Amino acid sequence: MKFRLQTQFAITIIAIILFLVLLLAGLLQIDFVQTIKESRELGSKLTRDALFDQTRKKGLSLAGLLSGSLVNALYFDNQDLINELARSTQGQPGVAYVFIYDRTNRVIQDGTVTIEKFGTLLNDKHLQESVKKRQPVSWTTDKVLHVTTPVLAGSRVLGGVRIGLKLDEIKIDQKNLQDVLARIANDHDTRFAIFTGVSALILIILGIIFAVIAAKRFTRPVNALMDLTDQYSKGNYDADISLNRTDEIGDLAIALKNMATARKLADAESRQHQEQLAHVSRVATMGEMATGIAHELNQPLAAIAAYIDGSLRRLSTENQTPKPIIEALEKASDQAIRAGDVIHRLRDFVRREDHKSEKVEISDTINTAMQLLKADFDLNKVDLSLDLARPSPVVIGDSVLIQQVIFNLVRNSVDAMSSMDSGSGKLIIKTSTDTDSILIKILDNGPGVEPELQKQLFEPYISTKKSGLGLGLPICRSIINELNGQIWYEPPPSQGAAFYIRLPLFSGESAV
Amino acid sequence: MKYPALGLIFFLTATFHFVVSVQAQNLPPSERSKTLVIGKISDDPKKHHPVLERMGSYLAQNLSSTGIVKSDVLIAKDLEQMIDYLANGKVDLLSETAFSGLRLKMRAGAEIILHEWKKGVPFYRTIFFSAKDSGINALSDLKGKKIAFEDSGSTSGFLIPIAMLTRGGFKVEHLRSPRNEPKRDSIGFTFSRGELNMVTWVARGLVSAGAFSSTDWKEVVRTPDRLKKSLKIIATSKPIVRSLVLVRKNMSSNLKSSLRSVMKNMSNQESGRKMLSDYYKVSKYTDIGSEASKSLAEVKSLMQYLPKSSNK
Repeated sequence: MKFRLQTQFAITIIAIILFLVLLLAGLLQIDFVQTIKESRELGSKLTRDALFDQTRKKGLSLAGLLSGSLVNALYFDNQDLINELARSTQGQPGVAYVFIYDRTNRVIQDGTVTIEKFGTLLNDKHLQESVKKRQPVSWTTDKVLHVTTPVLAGSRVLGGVRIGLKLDEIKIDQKNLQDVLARIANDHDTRFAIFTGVSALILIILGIIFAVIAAKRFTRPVNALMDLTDQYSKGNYDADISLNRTDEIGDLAIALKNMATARKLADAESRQHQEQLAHVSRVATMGEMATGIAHELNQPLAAIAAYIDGSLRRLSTENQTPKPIIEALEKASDQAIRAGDVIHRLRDFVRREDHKSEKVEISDTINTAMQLLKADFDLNKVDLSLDLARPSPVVIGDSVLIQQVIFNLVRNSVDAMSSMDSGSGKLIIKTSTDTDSILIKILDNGPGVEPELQKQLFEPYISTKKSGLGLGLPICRSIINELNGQIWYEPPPSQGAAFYIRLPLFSGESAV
Repeated sequence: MKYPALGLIFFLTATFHFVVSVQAQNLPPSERSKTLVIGKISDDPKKHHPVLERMGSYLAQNLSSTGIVKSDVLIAKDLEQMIDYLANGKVDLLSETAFSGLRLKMRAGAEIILHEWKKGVPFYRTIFFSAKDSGINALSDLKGKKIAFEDSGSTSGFLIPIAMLTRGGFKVEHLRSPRNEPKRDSIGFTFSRGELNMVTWVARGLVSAGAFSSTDWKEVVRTPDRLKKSLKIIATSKPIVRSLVLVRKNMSSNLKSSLRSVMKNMSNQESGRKMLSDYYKVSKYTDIGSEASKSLAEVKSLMQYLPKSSNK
């Protein structure tokens, strides 16, 4: 599966966010469960401590209250009051036992009717400590919290109180509380799971939105760079984008622009070289055509000489009539013009100018080229047949360069046919158009191109001529390519060779 | 007896504690001569013991020249017990009101050595008051009516007013409740157990009159202004000494003299003043002057008219 960069980027970010969110949610859940567990344990401990502390306070409070109430009763040995206080304390919930002892630390009341512990000596370390500190002292045994406190009248110890509180009730309370804590913890667990899930979902949605925005933001300049490179690939090296970035993408844009500038300069240089090469090629061609050109010029010059000679002879006779002389001189003048045209065409053909981009009428251009080659046709007895579309199709380009292409192809045909029997060579040049292009077909009945050479025809330095450099056809191809056209070779069904050129027609909107 | 064992236990308990108690009160002679025992008549040792301890300790520290090195406290639950303690030399020193002081002097041989001022007041009077709209303007108007006294041990709130009534020729009748009615020819009395109670009863018409100390009449917390506005004074006693300092009989003259000197000097020292304030808000101690002597003579006179149950 192939994804665009933006999609890949978005998927990557979403995957990272998804992973992080799920990881975070998982860690939170684990931490929460652990926290709840610890909280329960801590709560249980705190509760146990709190209940114990509460029981201890209750014991201290009861002992303090009882000892305070006992001061006067012990001072005056009011046994009824002492007994009443002991029994009422014994009746309090959670009280395991009550001992009231005198200043000799012997039990005098224990809250029972029969005073079962009467006379029991309580002279233990807890009692001694409480007397020494003049404060209540508490301690625990297996199931009972004990509190002992002296009964004081001022600083005088009158006796004391010892109370035992049942710790079983703490355990029962603790169990109930643990059940409540467990219920609360379960409720919290469920709520937290829902909260975590919803939060994760929201984070994922936000993450996707963020990823898409980030991907777009990241890939927008990349897309702009892609558009720029696309423009460059089409040869539009003047294309530009404004990114205003200082990061790597900004550097890449600058690098691309530099590359385009370099390519533009290289192209210009290449074009210049190409122009030079084309010019050299045309000049060389003219050298090769010197005989034909001489023949072409010789005819009008000979005619001019003949007309002038005839005119002189007539002027030297007595019977002078001006009309024939005028006619001869007019003909001489025409021939001079004809020779001038030849020279003019030659000069145009070999002139060295910058390439133009102008409207070129293909039919006229072909005709002009054929006139330059007329002497070659005559010398080689080649029969030229033109089938040119009318009105002349128009393309955008340089007429001289197009002429050079036609010229080269035709001369190659004439050269190929020069070895044939005199008068048997035939050359056909035909143009046809479709909706947006013109097709030029140059067909001869010469020996054709060897099959092994056909694929290399347009490669440089490939030539069948002994004196050829093998640059003619490559130059033709580069010229046609420059005009966004195509040139190719196709062997005709019968004998001979056929070259095709397709050029885009001027549509009225093309740059001139 | 249905439960002989239980009876035996109670007997043993009582015996045991009697022994313990006597042992505590009977210090060895060598210790006793070095110990200043300060006493008080009260049924609330819890409240008074710490106060007495502090005062005893202060005095003992200032009586070192007499051989006193420490102090102790002995609280008697009633006058009879205190008489016993004084007569047997178990208590050296105590503060008491005029009536109780004279009784202890007469019955236990105690000696009055100083006049005790409380809250800056050396004397007070008992005042009789009634509601302004009650129509009662004199003690004679109380015949067939009810009067509230404080409690049976209160000098200004019972002993003096009841003695004044009997000395005035009025028949008095003890009523268990303020809702009971006296005979027509007698004045019914009942105990309010508190000054504010008494004032409220009179103001609400529950009783026709009340009697307590003039110092109580002046204290807002005991006689709120809102209630006082509806009350009027219908009779007052002669000045009565606020309080007295007594020592046991046979106390050495040296110790007695030193005690008198130390206690009189207390109001001249910062530490002494603080101690006096802590000790029932006493202002100072002075010798028994002529005015105090007259007051004591008046009290002694009134004592003859006390009901038999009160005149022990």
